[in-house]
Amino acid sequence: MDIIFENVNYTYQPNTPFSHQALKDISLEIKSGSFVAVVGHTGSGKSTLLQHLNALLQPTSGRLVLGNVELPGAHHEQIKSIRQRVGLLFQYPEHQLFEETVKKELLFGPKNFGFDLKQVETELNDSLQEVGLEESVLDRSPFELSGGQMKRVALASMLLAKPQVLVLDEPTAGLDPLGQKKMMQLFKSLHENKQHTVVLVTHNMDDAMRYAEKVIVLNQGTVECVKSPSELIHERDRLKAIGLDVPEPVEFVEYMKARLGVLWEEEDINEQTISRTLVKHLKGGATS
Amino acid sequence: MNQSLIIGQYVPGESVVHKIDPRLKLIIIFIFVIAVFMANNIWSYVSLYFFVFASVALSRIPVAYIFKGLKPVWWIIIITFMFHLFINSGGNVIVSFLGINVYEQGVFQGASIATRFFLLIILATLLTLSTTPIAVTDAVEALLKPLKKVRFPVHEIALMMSISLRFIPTFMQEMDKISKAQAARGLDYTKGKLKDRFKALLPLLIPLLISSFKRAEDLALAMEARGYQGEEGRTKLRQLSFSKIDYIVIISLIVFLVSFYMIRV
Repeated sequence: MDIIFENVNYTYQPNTPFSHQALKDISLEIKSGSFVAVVGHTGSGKSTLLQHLNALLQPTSGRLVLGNVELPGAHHEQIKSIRQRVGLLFQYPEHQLFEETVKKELLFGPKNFGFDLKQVETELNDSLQEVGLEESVLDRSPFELSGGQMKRVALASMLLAKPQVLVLDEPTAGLDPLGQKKMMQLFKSLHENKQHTVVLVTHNMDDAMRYAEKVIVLNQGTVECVKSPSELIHERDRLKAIGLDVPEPVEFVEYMKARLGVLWEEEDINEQTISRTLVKHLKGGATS
Repeated sequence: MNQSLIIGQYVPGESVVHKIDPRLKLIIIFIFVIAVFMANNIWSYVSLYFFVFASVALSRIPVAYIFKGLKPVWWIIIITFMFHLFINSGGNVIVSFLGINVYEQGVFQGASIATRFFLLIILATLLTLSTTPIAVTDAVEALLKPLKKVRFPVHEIALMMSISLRFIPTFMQEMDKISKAQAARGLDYTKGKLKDRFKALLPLLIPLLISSFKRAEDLALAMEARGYQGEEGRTKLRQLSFSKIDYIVIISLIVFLVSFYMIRV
């Protein structure tokens, strides 16, 4: 399903002294089956934007189209169907775990969406395997699990509701480096093999650059730019100006140019181009 | 988040009301509570209204905002009014409606009880809107100090108060996050039978309880790690002291109370 924002504004606590406009005139499009990253500094409106994708928040003004549903103005059943089709993984799994066993926890979403639970139970093992958990956790209490395992349980419970769009809020926060990589690989394979649309909300620029096809950069509630990773590497100064990390390869190239006197002639910045230039430089060629 | 609930939410400001010493504010509220129950004719009520709305005006907090915060309380006020209207029988009958008589006394009683409720709540709301929770607990601690002589744990009570006040917004935020996380998983606690709705609260309450225990533990550890050991030898960062504003307020309060006393019969 396509997701279209048309001049969306969102204001928290309107008409109070605490009124705060979090989204200002946002217009963008997320095509079905794409992998986009939403990056931005704290307070840029990332999480407000992501809650719109699930109809948890609705535009104060403007229009948001989620597949065949339009917000604001959708009725109850439509919103429920949106919540099934758009799976939202929050940053802190502690906020959603409550059942006695992991198994019940996993079945909670599908039950709410009216799935055939017998059918879902047969899929449990596969989905555990998918997220990298062992079957033995099924009968354990979710509160005995480690933070990383909780996150995986939350993810599995989201996937069992068969969403078409995966919205992931800092999915790798709190995981060890290997776990981070595995989790990102999992999203990549879900995207490639099952044609899921993936919306990755993160401030890890390296993840955004490595996995996303398009990067949406937010700044103070507005869309700063929408660029592909290969375009974004040329925006080093702009990213820095709005308080974002510059991807490490880009920083590295800057360092080579400034400190080592390397002449940079490549378009893309990736492992190949960096090593090629370094080799050239060492052989005495690429020196400015 | 329940945005209509504003009691306990501090609105930063620089107004006179914000600057009054919190101890004085508490004393004023205490006196006002007594005054509200001593009012006995229309003019004394009018003067109370005047007092409350003058304070609201001085605080420069939008009246509409304060009224919005009363939303949950309106029903209680209306129901009390109705209750007195139909139950109380004294004086002449004003209207007869479906065989139920409404008496003069009923109207007066109903209106005065509703007024008392209304004014007390507005003033209490104003206190919390114009005073930081920390200032309120400092004031409570200062005012209760004499009780220390009888071994009443004043400092501990004040600490408990400030901790619980401090965590109200945190828990509201947390509740908001939890209910969103569960709504995203298809939880629906706005529809269905009453029993189902109660059941649907469990997925909200359990994570909230667990996280509050965790927070309590973290807080206790953090306090212990920094060598907290109760009141002994502690000094205060913010010393409460009366300023010129406070003396002016005290004088106006005395003037008000004297005239209030004279107005009532």
